[in-house]
Amino acid sequence: MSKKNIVLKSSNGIIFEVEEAVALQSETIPYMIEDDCANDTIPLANVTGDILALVIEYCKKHVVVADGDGGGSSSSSQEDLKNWDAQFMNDLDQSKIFNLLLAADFLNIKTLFDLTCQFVADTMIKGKSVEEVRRTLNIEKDYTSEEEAKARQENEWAFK
Amino acid sequence: MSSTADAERCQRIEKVVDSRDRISALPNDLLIQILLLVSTEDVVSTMVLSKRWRFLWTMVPKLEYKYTYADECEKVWKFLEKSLELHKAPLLETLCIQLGQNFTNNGDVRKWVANAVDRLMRKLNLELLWTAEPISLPKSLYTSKTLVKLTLSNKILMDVPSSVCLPSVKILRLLFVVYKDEDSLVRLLSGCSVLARSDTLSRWPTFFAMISHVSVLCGAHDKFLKSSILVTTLSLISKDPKALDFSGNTFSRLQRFILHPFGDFWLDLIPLILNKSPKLQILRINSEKGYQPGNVPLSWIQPSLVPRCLSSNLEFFGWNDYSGSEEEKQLMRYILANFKCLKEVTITLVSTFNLDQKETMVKELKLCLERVSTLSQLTWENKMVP
Repeated sequence: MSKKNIVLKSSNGIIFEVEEAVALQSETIPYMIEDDCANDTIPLANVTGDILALVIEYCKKHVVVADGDGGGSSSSSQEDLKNWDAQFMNDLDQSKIFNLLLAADFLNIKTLFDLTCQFVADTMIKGKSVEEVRRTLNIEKDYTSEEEAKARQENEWAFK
Repeated sequence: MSSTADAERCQRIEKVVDSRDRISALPNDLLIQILLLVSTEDVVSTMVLSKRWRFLWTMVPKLEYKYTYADECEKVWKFLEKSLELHKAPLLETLCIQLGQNFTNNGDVRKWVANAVDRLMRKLNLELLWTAEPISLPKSLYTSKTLVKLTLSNKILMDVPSSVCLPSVKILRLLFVVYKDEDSLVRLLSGCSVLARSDTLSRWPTFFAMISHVSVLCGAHDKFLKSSILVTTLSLISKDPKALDFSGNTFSRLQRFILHPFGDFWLDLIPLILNKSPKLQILRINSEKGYQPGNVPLSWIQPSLVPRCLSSNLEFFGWNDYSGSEEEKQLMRYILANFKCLKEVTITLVSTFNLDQKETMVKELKLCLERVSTLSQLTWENKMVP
């Protein structure tokens, strides 16, 4: 089977050429290929170049190599992949993380979407107090102090 | 070297500079996907983050309450009641309520379940370990069109109406529940038309059974045993198989048998099942989860006739945490010598073996296996001691 390449174009005009197997981890791209078969380049209007580069980095790492064995990857490489994923997420700032989440949603790459959601849940929300979550996620408190006190009082049951 | 240091510094600066609230700008459906991954307590407390978050928690289609200890029983009930009352998601995908032993029953679980059924619940997991009386569930639960997975455990009285109809239930797990009468279980099962998997654990002290697929085995009771002859997968945890009366029954459709060794007599169960299961393809012995050796020494009594499945269908044999006692060896030798169409064997050794013991064991097992000519795959998994 000969390897076919697919050309992706980010919203800011950056071109990426990737192997078909890498691109097809996105469930959105096959539809775009069908819709746009005359043109070789697939325009991705809501993914910027820096985010698309990250998406491709992830997809390249996760592409299933269809070798002669036909079997899945061994447990050690699963472990490697998990470590790689953790490092990949850890290296990103919040702006990139949330843009990556939007891109994974738009491109419909389930494993990347799940990875990003899980990372946000685990590192930014889980087990944290309201103040900690606000600080971590830069959420501006738009309640006045009185409003917040009132909300807390009315919902006293909700807080430890 | 210096360029990577520079890059790192840049990245760090970027992190500091980037202090905008990104998460609140996400669309609701993505925020809900994130909130589905944290505990209901954490989800509920997001209500005071900012106005944007005020009602978001009420749209998360999962409510999970897991409390082992009732330190603040009153507070837990209040939390359950209020959060369920204010929760607004038109579709409640999952409701899970697990309450530990020392909880008192002073909430209206019935009402909450009924409310969840009205909101097209797909998964219900109810585990009530309290010492109070078992509670019965609303009739509407037994006619839910949307319920896919139902797990009920302990202090639940199964009072199944004759109108029971659960057309979507694929997975049913009933663990130590109380049946109002024997017909309740039979009725429930006959009301689940697409059941793919059913596990039940009975309260009978001598025998625990988990049964999968279509039917159920609950104890030595004839009625349940008879209904079990159509199962395709059988998973047993057995204390004393002698309490079982298999006479006259054949598991005519049984394809997978998984035994979780427990107590003194588990070796006896294997020939019993093998003899009754002509279609068996997969045999697995799983000592991994809490095998406790009994007081009576195990004994292996070789069946006089080779069971039919060994010579015709059995293709897969697995043994987790094989410890290689004399009786286990006898069983292993017997099965391997009589497998006629074996394709795959997977054996893991107990982690307590040292390297020498492992080597000896592997050598012995290889000798046994050499006789099996059809074997296409043999897997050894040596577990590392943590």
